[in-house]
Amino acid sequence: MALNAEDEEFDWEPPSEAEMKVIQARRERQDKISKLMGDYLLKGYKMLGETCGQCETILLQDRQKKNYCVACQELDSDVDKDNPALNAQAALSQVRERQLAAQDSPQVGGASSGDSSLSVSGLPRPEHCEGAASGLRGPLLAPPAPAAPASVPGLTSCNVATVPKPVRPIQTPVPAPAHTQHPAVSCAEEALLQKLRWAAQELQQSTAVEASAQLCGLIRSCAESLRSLKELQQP
Amino acid sequence: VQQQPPAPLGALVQVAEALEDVVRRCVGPRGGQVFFTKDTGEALITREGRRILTALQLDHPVARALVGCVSAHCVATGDGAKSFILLLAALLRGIRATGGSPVAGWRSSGQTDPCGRLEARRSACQLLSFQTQVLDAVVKEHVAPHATSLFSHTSPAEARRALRLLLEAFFRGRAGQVHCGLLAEMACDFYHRWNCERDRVGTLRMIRDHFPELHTSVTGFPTSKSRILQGLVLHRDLTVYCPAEGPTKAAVLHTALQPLLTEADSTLIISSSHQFHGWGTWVAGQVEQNVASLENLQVKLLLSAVKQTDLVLYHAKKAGMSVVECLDMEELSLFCRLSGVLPLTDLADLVDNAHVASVTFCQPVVLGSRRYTHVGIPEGRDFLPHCLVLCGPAEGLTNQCVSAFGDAIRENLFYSNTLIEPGAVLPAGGAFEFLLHHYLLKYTSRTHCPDTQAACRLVAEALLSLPRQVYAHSGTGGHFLKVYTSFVSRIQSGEPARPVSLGPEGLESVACKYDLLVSVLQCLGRLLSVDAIIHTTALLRLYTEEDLN
Repeated sequence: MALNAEDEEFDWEPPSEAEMKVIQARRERQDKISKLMGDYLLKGYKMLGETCGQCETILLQDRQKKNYCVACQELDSDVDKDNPALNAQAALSQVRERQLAAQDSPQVGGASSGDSSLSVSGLPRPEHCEGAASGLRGPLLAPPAPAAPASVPGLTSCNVATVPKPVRPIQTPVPAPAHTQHPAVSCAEEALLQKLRWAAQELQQSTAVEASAQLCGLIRSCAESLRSLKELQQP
Repeated sequence: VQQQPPAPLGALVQVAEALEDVVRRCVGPRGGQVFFTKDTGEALITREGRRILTALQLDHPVARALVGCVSAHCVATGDGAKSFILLLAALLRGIRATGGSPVAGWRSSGQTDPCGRLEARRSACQLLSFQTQVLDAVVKEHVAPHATSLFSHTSPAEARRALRLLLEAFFRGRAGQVHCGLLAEMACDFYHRWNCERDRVGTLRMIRDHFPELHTSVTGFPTSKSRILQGLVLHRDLTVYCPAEGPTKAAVLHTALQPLLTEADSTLIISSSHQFHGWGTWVAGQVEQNVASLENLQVKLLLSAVKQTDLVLYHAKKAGMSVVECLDMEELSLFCRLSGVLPLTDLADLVDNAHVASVTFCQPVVLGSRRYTHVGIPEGRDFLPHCLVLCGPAEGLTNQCVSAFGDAIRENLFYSNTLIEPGAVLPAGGAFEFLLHHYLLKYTSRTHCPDTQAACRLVAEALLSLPRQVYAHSGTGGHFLKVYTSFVSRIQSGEPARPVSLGPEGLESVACKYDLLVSVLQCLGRLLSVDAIIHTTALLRLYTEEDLN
């Protein structure tokens, strides 16, 4: 049970500062998970005997017999934080590390907003990047604070959305540099407009109230997605 | 039936921390209450740890085992569910922190590896041996001398004050700041009115065992209307009431005074109406005779466990006797015990005086919306019986009051274990934890075994989580540190045998605190040494030894 300094077989050094930060972050995350779980238990959720497949957190089940994982669905995923494809900051630090390792000298000021791991133009300043990155993400992602488990038009949602969205336009993992029309964005726009047309046609022909309401919802989300796409195109 | 590997340490910690978060909101004098509602509309307001934990829906086997341990502990001692969970979570966190590299061990899915299990099992065995070998000795030699005894005060006023402080601290935790003074005062009063001093253990045991019969809960009134009544309240109304002045005699009946027409499982054949009339006359004669025998013994109050017939009631009223029917067997047995008589089971005993009890008065009493019977019992050999009327605005709050009262008697006054004598108390607010923490750390410097050192440090650190939580709710953030440092300086400068006082926060029982720690260590040992979890779909039928023979 104890780690002894006298034990010669196992050398143990105190954790470095970086490791301490990681430990601290993990502990805070664990505290947040416990607090959320306590809240849900008091709300009447049932604690199941199974754990989530991705993060090993204990699953909760609500009154409607739906399973719910507090870590995956409410907190920012621990793993995604380090994945450069999903996180601007992670990509940035990866780029910086690569540059430091290769001893690159040119430092062009005027950072671009993009963090694409494919193209790099100098050493972008973090705050500029973060702002741009958040602008890119803005209306599309749910705020990281724990929200009610409603379906949000975000990147990750384990709940079943009530209105099936046929297209999620900003699923592209790479937020593109804004000046040129990225082919993915134009492709997405086209698909959206197509769906919009189709939905409008269906709406004209539809006789049921439920179906009409769903089609209206679809049209609304297409319009919102189009608006977000337009914002993407602007710097 | 499917088997799965046992829960890794991470899952244990997660379960414990989730439950800890639930109970943490209600800890300490300024903690809150939890309001439960059911779909049927029932509402329950409580801050009692055990109630809250059993009301949660938990399917996880570790969580259910934990709540089972907590319930068992609370049934034995009467309190401590929240502290149990807090201490257990702190110990688990400590074990996780020391076992293996903290970074790698956090979310490694390789906790099912045999090394992890062996390590956990070793920790469990170590903790149990640590408790018996080291902890017992430390508590007995170092912590116990600091405690004062409730029952050894010379002046009765001092003793009463000490008891009041002890009960006030207890009620502050259970019933909240508002009512703790009133309930503590009532409990003190109750204890003294029973004249417990002559045979303390026996009387307290009787109060503890018969507490459900000794109290009446009344809903719809403010708690301040609670009071103590002399004698006993029987929870049935008088069927026949003939007011009588002064002391009277009472008889306890377990049978009907009117002879039965037939026995069960037998057939009665009536061949003529003449026979039927004859039988009727005979029955009437018997009833008159029985009632006359009772009258000869000067019985004016009949306490019956069964329903008596109208003929009996008519004759009783004619003879001026009051009758109470359909009483609970437990109440009747308590009455018999308090007044020292035997109940009448055979009508042939009607001439015997040993079945007749004397009561000082008998009258109906209205409590809340019901009418009950209030009988006065003369002073017995060792005690003077009293009973409680506990009021509360809503049913949940009344029940909370009642259970707090019952547990107060059970835990504080009665409880003892082999190490610590009953009535040993320390100031509330963390004195026990600080003292034990201090002495455990001192012990680590004296011992050379690294395992014992690690165990000492683990338990010492975990102990501090309790006062930290209690002080967390108070206004100033640094309050805990202030108290702790002032305590440490005092303990280091003062003589070891002098009792420590932390201020007028109240007192708490040392035996209960120590038993809580022991229970937690044993529960932890059990949880860590689980080898397999088997899920069954059918209900388990538990065989006893008699079934198997």
